[in-house]
Amino acid sequence: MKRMFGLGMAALLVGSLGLAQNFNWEQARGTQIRVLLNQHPWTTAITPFLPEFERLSGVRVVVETFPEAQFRNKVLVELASGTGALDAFMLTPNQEGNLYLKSGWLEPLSSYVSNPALTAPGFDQADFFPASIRAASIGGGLVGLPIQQETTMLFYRKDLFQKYNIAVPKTFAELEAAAKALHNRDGVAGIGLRGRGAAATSQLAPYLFGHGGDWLSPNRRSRFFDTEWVNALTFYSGLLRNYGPAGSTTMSWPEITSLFAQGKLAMFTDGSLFKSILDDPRTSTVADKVGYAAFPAGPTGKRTPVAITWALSMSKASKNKTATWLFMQWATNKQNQLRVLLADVPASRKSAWNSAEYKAKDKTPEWSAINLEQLEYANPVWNPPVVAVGEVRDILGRAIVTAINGGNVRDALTRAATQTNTVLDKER
Amino acid sequence: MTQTSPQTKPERRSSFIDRNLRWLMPGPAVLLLFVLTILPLIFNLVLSTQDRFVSAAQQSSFVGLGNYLDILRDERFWNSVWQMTKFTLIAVPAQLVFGLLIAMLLNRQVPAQGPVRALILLPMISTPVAIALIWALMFNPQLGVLNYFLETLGLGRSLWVADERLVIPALALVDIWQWTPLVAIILLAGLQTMPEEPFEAARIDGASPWQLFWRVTWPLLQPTLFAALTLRLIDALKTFDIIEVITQGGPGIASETLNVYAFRAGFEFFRVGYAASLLTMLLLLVTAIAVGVNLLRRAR
Repeated sequence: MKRMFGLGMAALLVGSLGLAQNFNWEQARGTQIRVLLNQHPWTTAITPFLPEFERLSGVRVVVETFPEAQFRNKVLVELASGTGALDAFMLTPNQEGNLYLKSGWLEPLSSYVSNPALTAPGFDQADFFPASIRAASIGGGLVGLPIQQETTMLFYRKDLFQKYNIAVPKTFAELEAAAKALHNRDGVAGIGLRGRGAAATSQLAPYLFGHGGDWLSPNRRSRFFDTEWVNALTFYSGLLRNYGPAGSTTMSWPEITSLFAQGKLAMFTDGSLFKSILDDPRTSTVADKVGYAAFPAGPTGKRTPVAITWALSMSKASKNKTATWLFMQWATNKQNQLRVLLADVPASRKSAWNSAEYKAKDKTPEWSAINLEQLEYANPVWNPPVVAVGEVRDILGRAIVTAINGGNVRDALTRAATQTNTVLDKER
Repeated sequence: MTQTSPQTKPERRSSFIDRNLRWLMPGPAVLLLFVLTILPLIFNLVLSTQDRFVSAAQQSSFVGLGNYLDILRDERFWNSVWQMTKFTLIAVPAQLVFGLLIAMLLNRQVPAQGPVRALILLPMISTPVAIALIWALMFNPQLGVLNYFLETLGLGRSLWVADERLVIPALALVDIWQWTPLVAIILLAGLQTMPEEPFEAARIDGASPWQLFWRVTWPLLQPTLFAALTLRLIDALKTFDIIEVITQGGPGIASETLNVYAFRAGFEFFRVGYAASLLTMLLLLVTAIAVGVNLLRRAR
């Protein structure tokens, strides 16, 4: 086995030498680029390999990493200042993509991909999941290279489901029944979901789609007062109020995942990315008891997880665009996507998931299978498709908190719809 | 001639300095103040008259006092003023009372006074964000140590910052814990610089400790108390770090003070013109209150 692996590596090496002759990786030798990254498992996984790129290209990469909230602020401020001191950065296209593109801060990438002088032959754009490419394309053009592709998933405690003889929920009704049956048993809350205002909107989205609702009408008005919205939010907030952990209006993913990892939750739904926290005995007391299931189907009868994509984007003001592009394509190449997947980051390239190496080392094949299956139909629009995403998320977040606290759902959503339409008026 | 000129030159220069000393001495300070405070303030005022988005994605336009009129009709603004007021009204009086008690204790001959005084300063000199993160953990209803204590004492669990009615008192508790030492140190300085004579005279006249405190210590301590009050009022009204880290203004907007709301408006909604107007309102409010306290002090 070891020898085979060695042979494979040798073949890879020879292969890449062959490619290197055709493609000039050193065309920007001697330059330096500055990259801003979110403190994300992808960042942790890729950082040790950066010197490899520096040796390959002769480009020096200066990386700065910040926790998510500060990271997003920092990128915004740097882009708005327009100094060109920033070259590449992580982006969730569905969150800031519209704003950044309309502001003229994102370098369109399609012409780079199609230029053989700039893009190595092995890049293979068709290898990315179509959902990832769709998410990273705004207004028809590519504005980022996908680095991670997660879907909404149901995480549950295998041992508790077995002990109380409960089947893994396949529908929203079964989800509620399971939450009810397990609530306050063995010191767990029935179900955990994000309840902290704006942060909860992305995880309410799959429940909204499951009830047949959508964000905006074709003439770009808020649909928050639709019956589907009322049903979705009533269901979501009801789960939390009746079977959720105490204080759920303050909880986002860090709180939910740590509660589950401390054995205080029977199940939760959130991004598939969080597996890495839960099945690691160093961070989880229930590492060997985590079950994974597809996001359950709503009253529409369809499974409606959302697909969340992180991408690597280039600043339009960058002064080292060639070097930056070389870095971006290297960071998202097949080998590096496999590397991050081996570190439990849901990769955005099919080849990584299908590789013999990943299949041999995969500790949770059921997680991989669900993630791949869900990507076929997951909805990439997990945020309201507006420019002022932050403000609309905040407006909706307040309705979510009101609902969880037992307030009138219809009133809260009507208020949110009116406020959202005021914001949309400015975007006309 | 050639020999005299090097002598006259420094003379001339020093006479220039002499004549303009009153401008030159405060010059650097004035310049610094201008660049770091006055200029940003003017810029903020200009910004507050515009309906301006952070980027070119939306047109910016001059709206005059439009933002301020919007603010007066903005429920969320009034909520933030109310939360800010509640926070200050809980935190500052408690800090003054506890600060005074600690100062009186330290003013007596306590064993190991040096180390005790150093230890009591710890909350004040720690990094606010680190403190806030620790408190956030302690407040956690399931995993936090505060509920563990409550349960050990046979009391029920509390939701702490997850409860809309409890969140401001809980945040004020953090502020009290963090800033009481400062008040104590200020008041201790006041106590230690008091003249001995009035106390001696009062004791000779047979005053009880209670009378001694209310008739001598308390009046003599007034100026120091007002100084501590003004400092803490201004700071408490502007509190940002602990609130942003522990609750981000939540649940909902139940702990969103004016400062936190302005931050949201600027850095998350990208409405920089409106955020600038909110901050002008904060400046006006804080200044008015500080001036009010000062007038109260002079009236005494």
